[in-house]
Amino acid sequence: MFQYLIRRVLWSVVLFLAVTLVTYVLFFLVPANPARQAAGQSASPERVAEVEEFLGLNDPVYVQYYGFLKRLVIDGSLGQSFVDRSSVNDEIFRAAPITASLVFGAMAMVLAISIPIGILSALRPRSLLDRAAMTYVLIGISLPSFWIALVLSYLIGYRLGWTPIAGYCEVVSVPQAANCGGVLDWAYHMILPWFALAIVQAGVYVRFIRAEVMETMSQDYVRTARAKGAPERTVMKDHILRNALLPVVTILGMDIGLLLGGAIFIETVFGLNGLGGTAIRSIGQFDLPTLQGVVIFGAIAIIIFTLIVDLLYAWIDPRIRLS
Amino acid sequence: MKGRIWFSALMALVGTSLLVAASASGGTTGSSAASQSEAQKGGTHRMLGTSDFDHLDPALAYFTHSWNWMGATQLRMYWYPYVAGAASERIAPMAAQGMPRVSNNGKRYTITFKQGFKFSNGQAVTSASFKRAFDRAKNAKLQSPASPFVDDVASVQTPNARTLVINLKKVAPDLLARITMPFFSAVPTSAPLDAEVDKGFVSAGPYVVQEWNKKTSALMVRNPQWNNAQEPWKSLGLQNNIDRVTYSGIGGDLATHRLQCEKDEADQCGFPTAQAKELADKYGVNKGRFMVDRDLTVWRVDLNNEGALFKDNPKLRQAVLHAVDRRFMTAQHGYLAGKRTDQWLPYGMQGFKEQNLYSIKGPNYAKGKTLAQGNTRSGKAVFYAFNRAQGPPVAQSVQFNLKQIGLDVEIKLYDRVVQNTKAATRGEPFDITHEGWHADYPDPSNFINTLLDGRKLQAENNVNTSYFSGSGVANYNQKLDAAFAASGAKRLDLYAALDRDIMANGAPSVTYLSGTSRRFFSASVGCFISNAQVGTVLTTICKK
Repeated sequence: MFQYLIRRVLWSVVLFLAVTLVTYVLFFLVPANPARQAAGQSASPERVAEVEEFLGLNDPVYVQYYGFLKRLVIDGSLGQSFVDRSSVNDEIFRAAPITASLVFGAMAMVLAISIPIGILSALRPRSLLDRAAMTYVLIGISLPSFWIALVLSYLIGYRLGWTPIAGYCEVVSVPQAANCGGVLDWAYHMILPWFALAIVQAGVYVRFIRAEVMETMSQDYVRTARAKGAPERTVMKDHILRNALLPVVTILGMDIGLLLGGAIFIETVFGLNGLGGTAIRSIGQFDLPTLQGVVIFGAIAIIIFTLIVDLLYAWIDPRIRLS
Repeated sequence: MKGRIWFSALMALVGTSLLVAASASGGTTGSSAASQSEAQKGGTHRMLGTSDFDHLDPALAYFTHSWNWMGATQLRMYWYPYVAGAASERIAPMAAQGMPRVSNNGKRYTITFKQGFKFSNGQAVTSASFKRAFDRAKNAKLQSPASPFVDDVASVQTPNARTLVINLKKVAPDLLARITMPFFSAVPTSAPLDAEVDKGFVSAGPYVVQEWNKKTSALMVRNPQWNNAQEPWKSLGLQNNIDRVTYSGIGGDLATHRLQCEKDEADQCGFPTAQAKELADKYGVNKGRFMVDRDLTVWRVDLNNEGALFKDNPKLRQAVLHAVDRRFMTAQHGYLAGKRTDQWLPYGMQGFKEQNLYSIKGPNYAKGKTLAQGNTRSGKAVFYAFNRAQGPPVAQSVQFNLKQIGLDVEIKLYDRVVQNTKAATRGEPFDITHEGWHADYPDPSNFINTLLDGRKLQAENNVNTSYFSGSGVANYNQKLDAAFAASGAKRLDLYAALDRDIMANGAPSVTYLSGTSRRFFSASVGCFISNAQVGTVLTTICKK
């Protein structure tokens, strides 16, 4: 187990270096100079050179990359934004909880929707319920998330007025400028984004769970369990679900990691200024430090959640020996 | 002000049009229904914007919506007053006692200040408060965008607490207009020279920023020291109706913001450009909800005067100006985005005079063909266009129009930042590019001298992206200098003549749109005034 962990951590470091290096190189391939933008467009070459020095852009790319790594490892600093000079660490710490609120809430909703529907659908294939579920799956997979989000925002938020149209409320440290705050306001503002994201994701999960349950039900060990007279509840819980949900855990871990990198469309429609919006903005403004911060956070999230999934495997399925 | 319109275009690339939503308006100011004297006091004005402020430190703030807030929080020496009508277009003293005393050689400006202004922390505003603004602008470590505006300032002195002396390296008749910019607002002498202020804000304007949570929200409240009932504040005639102004919605979607204003969840919102017509139909134009004002913006298609095709080829440039379809190009900016133009100066700018040089109703191919005949050289042109919003359709329109006069245009699409960077680099192999410009201050020199003086061309980072040095215009540099150095009505006449001369004879660019600011308010906003420099004047907003 320990060796496995060491191996995973080492691979994670390699992955991290590769991701950050690629981001750096891609950034410098684009013929746009952030110093020029910061200096203003009528600025003299001398002033642009001053800003380049100020932003540390006058060194070769590999020197800048080394400086970035050194700063990150020694000071734990992701640097400062080229655009507004704010700390990238602060920006990530500000945006990450918003994206995490969206992703974890939505994924809880996904599981709450997809597990019962997926199982019931598998138990009664081609029934009315199964057909309805598959229709939903088709719709969920086919419709783009931003369209669903816009429609929900318009119908439920604007026309019916059941929920706020957009916005995010802090749970703690509510700013004076905010028009809302606290747990209840937070949840009230998040319901629609959770639902919008969950509708799309749940479609995929329903189909996946249905297929896994159906396949597991046809396994020899399930037939043996039934032949031995095990109660149906035990067969379902210990033999079918335990095995069928194993791949779901894998997908779930990956999805959470990916979405933590930014659920861009949903965030934009509902005015959640999380990591997705931060990434888009930093690309548009050629703000490398901020973009790099989001990339690193996303990479780390994927690495951590993949690791958690692997460790969970051992707990869910004792047959798996990590060593 | 290129940075500001550049930013606006950038926002358009991510699905926004902040210029439309919360930006500076201009030229002539507009105002909404209720008269200011009857305005209701109190309440919170809730603004939504898709992007955060760049800075709220007056030495660094340069985005349009940042200036919008600077307009309410800062005390400047001179300003364009927050009133409706022509008076808003004339520079007037704000903290200054009167107009400056200018030395005989025009290089020394002595400004005397009124007594009694105070910062929000109770500290008195003195001449040193304004000198600090100049010192910060000139400080290389602060990297203020104000720096290019003080290149010609040799020194700033404060002989006493009420007097400021500005010594110039050369005569600069636009100095007064320049120092109306928020960069030159009073700041406490304790404000760091080489670092940004991003919390603990202290300001001497009618309001003060109480809180700025970066990328999240901001709050502005009344400056407790400001008293409209007494001098020196009284004579400025400000209302300060609202108690608080909040700013949020950062990272959000314009369509959603619009719904929030319709549902009264917010008071001032942006909206997708494509929805302008729908809003106009639903609420009417300038009837309190959907407001349209003239803006000091001009969109244009530049012809590279240093490229092989257009260099010393004024006939072909004039042919292009006749052949393009300004109606179509203007339409790409959305409903009521502006007025078609064929002039360099925007409508509403001092010195603007209607000239009717080219057909702005549609292409005049006959005239274009006649002028182009024998002047098309290679017959091929490269167009650097940006790849979003109005970029592609405008480029395609120009491509089609120029085909009719014998020019084959190859369009190269780039991200806006890349296109702008490439076009601003001297020697870059392009013939045509697409640009916009919003004035920093309502002075014709900010359009003509800033954008069309070939002597200012440099290796890169040019704003003169037509690389125009006067080809086709007789005695061009002398005319430029004469207009810049003149004063009063004569100055405006010279600029009007220059505007005509440049466009009729030099034809450096296809100007096609003199822009507007379009704003959308909730039903609870009762009144507001817009200003040429700072946009929606937050001190004049009132609730119903």
